[in-house]
Amino acid sequence: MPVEIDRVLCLSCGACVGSCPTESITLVDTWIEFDDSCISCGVCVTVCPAAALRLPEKEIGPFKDPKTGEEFVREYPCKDGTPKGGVCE
Amino acid sequence: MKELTCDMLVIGAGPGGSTTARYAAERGVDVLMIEKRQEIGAPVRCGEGIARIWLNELGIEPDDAWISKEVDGARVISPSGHILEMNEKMAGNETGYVVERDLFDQYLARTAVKAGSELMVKTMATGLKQLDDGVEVKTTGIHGDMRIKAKVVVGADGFESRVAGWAGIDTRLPPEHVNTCLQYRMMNIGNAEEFNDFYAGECAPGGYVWVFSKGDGEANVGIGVQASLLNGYGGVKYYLDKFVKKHPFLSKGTIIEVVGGAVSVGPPPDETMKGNVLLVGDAARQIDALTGGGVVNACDAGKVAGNVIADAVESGKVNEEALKPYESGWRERMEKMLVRNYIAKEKILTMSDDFFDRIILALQEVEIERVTTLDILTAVQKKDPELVEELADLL
Ligand SMILES: Cc1cc2nc3c(=O)[nH]c(=O)nc-3n(C[C@H](O)[C@H](O)[C@H](O)COP(=O)(O)OP(=O)(O)OC[C@H]3O[C@@H](n4cnc5c(N)ncnc54)[C@H](O)[C@@H]3O)c2cc1C
Ligand code: SF4
Ligand code: SF4
Repeated sequence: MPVEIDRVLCLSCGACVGSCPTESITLVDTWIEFDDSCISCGVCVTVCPAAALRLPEKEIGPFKDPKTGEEFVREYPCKDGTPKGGVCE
Repeated sequence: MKELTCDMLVIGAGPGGSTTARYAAERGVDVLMIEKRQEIGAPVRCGEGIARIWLNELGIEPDDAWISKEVDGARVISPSGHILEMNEKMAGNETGYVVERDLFDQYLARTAVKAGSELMVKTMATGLKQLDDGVEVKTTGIHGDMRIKAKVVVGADGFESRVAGWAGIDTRLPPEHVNTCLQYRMMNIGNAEEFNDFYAGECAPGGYVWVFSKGDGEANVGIGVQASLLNGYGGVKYYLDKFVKKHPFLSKGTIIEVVGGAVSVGPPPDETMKGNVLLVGDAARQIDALTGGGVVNACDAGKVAGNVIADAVESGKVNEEALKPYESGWRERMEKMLVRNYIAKEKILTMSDDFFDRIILALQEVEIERVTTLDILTAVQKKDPELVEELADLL
């Protein structure tokens, strides 16, 4: 499980759960759990409103959609003025 | 492992689940509703704006127990501060009441239980299997591990829905169709007594900032931002903090609660049921992509689902064929609006701050009855004909 979580920051909001393309995250009442189907795409990291999630490395893909088999890459806007977080240089 | 059977199992006791349960139970269906949280509705994930008209339609008596403020309308505020005031009729689904969502959700769950539905909180669904004659759901929680066999399962498990995937319905969202939200409940703020305010423009890429008054100098100050327009981590918080800092009436306030969440902002999915499993509310992505409002839609679809299921149970044949009227029924009620507002949102995405200012300025001076696309275009045409060309594809 490559995604790191700061449980003090987590709001138990489920935003990451519903955004994960591989359905690898579960919210057990207030506790976030990742399973090993995670493909390190970083969507949850971007989506998390509490900035509670991190991926140690920048991940852009290509990733494989486990359901459709299609490949996809992550594109980050990296506009000026936005914070350059863990997965976007 | 404990084994249970029922006519209808509802997974998730949010507004969608509770309304489905209530309508089915009122017609004598044997309903069980399970909710994984220890307290229904908490922690809150909502701006808490709800339309007044709609409560009447569902026969819900407004109750001070869960209403924190009645508001007279909404205002849209452009990047340079031009204000468009809308009365309740124009403003649509998110104004009328600002509620306490946790208490509101609990109230809806109580009405379901009063109608005869069973409820188990702190009970989480962990898997689902379609059978020839129904659905089997595995659960865990304070009632121990259970296997529940139901004729129909309603997935009302919200944005984070797992029921959809288990049932073979693909409702996954690309980052372009996710607006991720952060909200501060603030006190000691000076403004925003009467209105629900929406701030449009680059302050919230692909979304907006809302300030919903809760009375007494308190308000929900929240932001929704399109996930694909964010870098790395912390983007949502960055934009909300920037907004609060920029507005003196807010920056002096105190944050007394932090709320997170996400809403889907894509077009409605192709299918919201499979076999004997129906999806309701956020699980079915029945959310208004323009406003992010979904409480009303979840309840509306829940009412349709509850009645369709009751019909099926009464007829003695509970199968996909008998349940199909749900798919057409909810679409009849809201699909057009969902599609129209999705297209409008996509258009708004391409607008610059300057463009927003011009639209709000143009609209300010024209009396419009309702904010429909056509009314906006007609109004804008009178004021700023050039704008209309750029808006033309909305037609
Ligand atoms: C920040 C934010 C602000 C919003 N503001 C507004 C607003 O102002 N007005 C408005 O109309 N809408 C608003 N919305 C949208 C609104 O909150 C949703 O549309 C609404 O909650 C949908 O109701 P629902 O019943 O479908 O799902 P939910 O209310 O999400 O309920 C789903 C329930 O299912 C439970 N559940 C999930 N998985 C399981 C499982 N495996 N087992 C058992 N239980 C489970 C959950 O715990 C939850 O209680 C907002 C959303 C967010 C995130
Ligand atoms: S990194 Fe991607 S695959 Fe892994 S949990 Fe997050 S969203 Fe899911
Ligand atoms: S999105 Fe962030 S705050 Fe919300 S549940 Fe996931 S980790 Fe927690």
